[in-house]
Amino acid sequence: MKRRKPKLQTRLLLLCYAVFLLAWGVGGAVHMPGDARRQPQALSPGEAEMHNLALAQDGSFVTEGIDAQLVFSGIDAPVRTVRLRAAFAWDPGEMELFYSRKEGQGFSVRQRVIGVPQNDGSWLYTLPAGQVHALRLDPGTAGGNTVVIDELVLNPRLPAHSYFGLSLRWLVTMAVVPALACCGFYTIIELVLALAARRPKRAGAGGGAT
Amino acid sequence: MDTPLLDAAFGFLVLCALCALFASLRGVSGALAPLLGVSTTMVYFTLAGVLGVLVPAFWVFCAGVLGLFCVLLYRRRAAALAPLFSPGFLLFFCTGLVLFVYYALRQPMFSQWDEMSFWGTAAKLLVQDNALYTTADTGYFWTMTERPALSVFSWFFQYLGAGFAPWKVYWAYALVLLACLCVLLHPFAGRRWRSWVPFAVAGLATPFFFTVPNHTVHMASTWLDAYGDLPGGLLFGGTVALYFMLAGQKSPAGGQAAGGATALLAALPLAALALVKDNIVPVALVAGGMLAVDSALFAPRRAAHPGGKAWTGQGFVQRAGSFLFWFAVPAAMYVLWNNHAAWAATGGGATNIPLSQAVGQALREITGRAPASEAYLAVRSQLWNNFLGRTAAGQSATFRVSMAGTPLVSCLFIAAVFLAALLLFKGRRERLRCAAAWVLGALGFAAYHFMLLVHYGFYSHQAGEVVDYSRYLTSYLSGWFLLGLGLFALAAGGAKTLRAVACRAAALALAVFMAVQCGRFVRPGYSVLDWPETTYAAARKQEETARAIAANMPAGQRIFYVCQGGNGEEYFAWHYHLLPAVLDYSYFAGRTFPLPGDEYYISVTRMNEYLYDTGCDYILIDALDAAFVRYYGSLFEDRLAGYAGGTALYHRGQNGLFSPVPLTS
Repeated sequence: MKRRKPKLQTRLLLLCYAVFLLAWGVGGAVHMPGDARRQPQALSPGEAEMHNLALAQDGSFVTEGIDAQLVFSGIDAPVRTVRLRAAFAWDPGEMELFYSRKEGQGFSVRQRVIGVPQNDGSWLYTLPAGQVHALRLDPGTAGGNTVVIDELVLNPRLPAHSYFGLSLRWLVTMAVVPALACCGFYTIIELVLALAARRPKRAGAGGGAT
Repeated sequence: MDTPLLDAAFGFLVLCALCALFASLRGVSGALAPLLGVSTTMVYFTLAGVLGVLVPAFWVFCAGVLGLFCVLLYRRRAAALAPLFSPGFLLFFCTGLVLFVYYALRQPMFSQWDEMSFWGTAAKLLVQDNALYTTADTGYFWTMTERPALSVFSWFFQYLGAGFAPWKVYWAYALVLLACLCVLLHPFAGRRWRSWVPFAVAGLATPFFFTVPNHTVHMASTWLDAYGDLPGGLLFGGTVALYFMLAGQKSPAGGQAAGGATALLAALPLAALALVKDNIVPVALVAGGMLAVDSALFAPRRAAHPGGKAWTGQGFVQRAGSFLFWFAVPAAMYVLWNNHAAWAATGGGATNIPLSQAVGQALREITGRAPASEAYLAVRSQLWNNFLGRTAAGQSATFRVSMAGTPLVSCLFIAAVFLAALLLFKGRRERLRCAAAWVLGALGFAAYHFMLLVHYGFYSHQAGEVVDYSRYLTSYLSGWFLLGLGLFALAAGGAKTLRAVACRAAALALAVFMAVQCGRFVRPGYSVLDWPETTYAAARKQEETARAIAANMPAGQRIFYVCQGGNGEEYFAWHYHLLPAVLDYSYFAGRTFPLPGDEYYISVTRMNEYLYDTGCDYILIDALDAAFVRYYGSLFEDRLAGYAGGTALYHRGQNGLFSPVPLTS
């Protein structure tokens, strides 16, 4: 029994890694056909409703307070990703995008995504699949910041490698999660076996019914 | 890549050889060797720096270590390298290698306040002068007297190369953090991966866990900052954990208990701990205290003769001796550095009264012998509120200091880890030691707050204000947690059958909790794992400009700096980037010049005299306002009419007036 266990352990570990790699690969690739079908759609900041934002003469915005918002209504199309290219006077911090699915449905924290800063200075928002009626873009968390929006595109064309997000973060997650999962399975098995191994002792000490 | 990799690679080779030497000692496993190697390097080069012999010391060190390593290889052949294949050392080496490649490719840069005002500048001065920064010409009116252990450690990896690279400093700091974390894997040498993977994961999550209390909104600088707070904290936990691993425990191979002599090796990281940062010295004394109490009360002693008692006579002398020894180590390092700093210091510091007086006054006010001052009351109430998690009296708990929560909740979380270790230890002696470690940690925590009270209320020139509390708390909490985790690992290492399975389950639960919290709080694009290129774009541009300016600067020239509306951060950033060219403190270090009638107003004549006296034939302007143009414009040939915003460089011509020069040639 003891000699077989190491082999089983190695196989279980390899299985965990294989499952995880497969899930990552499929999870990345599954979006590609859908994205290829959707056409990119550019939004103009001029079409948006402004809250706590002042429009300057050169077309830039200045945030007034921490809750500046740009609301785009009437989109009514499936949106999976949104790319924002914007320049800020100073680091805006967290970039939030709220979405609503139906007319009359307000924005809530439960329907919100955070922008991931990209190498080229843009932010990429990834929404759960579905129809989007309206979007609310919060340009950062600082008041008094000057914002120049260069581009806001719905369903932009993404390069193939971005579907599989290779980075040190990916490497760490890839290394840690399957290993912990395998540890988890094994610990459960061991716990059950160890508890089961204790029972005959108690039955014997109690003077056994048989 | 600007600078070569060989200097850092060679340093890494020597460090690993040193680790192999330590691992060849009885009772020291591959997991403890990195911390011993790293701390030996830190202490050795600090001493060399104080004596002013850094460069010869480098060659002696490398020759000595590599020579001894060759002897070890010759004597023991493959067995010399065997301890290096333990989980602990492999974790240190592989993670260190991954980070080496990653940082070399992506080249992060210094960009935060204290990195510019001290830590990064100190490291750069060391590489530039090959001597301690205490004697360097910095342009500041004070002497940089912060402790040098981390800076000299990063110098060790850059001495051979040409130029200075901030990423190598970050990598050196990462090695320090990894060396402390690998101590956790000592009890698992030779064990299957299932036993130690949860501890490795929990250990690697520790830096993020105690430095990112809320989800990231801006770049989280963990693993990418040159501040001494986190290394100091983890060194605290690592030192005491290393001692417990060595003292009185059975060695992992199941042989004889590692004797008291091997536990003395903990003096090396303890000495390094006392040389990391000024506010870590009290933490080093707490660590020394923990080791002193444990070695006096719990370490097994052989009686001098059969029938002799372990508490009287020679036993008592031994206990008293080791008690004093563990306090003497950090105290000696404290005195050593203070003497050097006093010798090197020429200017004034930021405080008005000596530390002993501040402590005395604080004690009098706390015990009621003196009437409580406003500053003391304000600081006391704010510290208490912060500890409970309130940002001010009456507000709800919003002040978090770690991923576990408020300071109070974080302390409870740490206590839970100690409790788990206590329950899972088998013998009564081990349990008592564990409990004693926690109690001493709690007393140390209170003492640390007393030190903060003295600092904020009586010693700092900003008396009454509590600033950077979370950073100071991170040091203590991360170390206390690491110690608890180390004891937990010891308990897990020694457990058998059902107890071992319970250990594994508990460790796994902790690892999963910490990993999930890290995943939730550390957002994509905002940390060391995947920062975007734009993060350091501004810093790179500034460095390029500064390099062009410095390249055309004659030796001995100084630059005067003007940045109306600045808060000092711009000054320190330029100061760092312009080295070896010296940016003068310029009266206000880039803050706005006061107007006539203000206490600190400077007339244009006085300014001109200052520029001549200090040898500042260049003026670097980052921002102007109408007041500056009005009162000092006469120094400039065009009266600053041609200034178009942004950064501009001016040079004093033959007629004594400053005219613009191009920033790049």
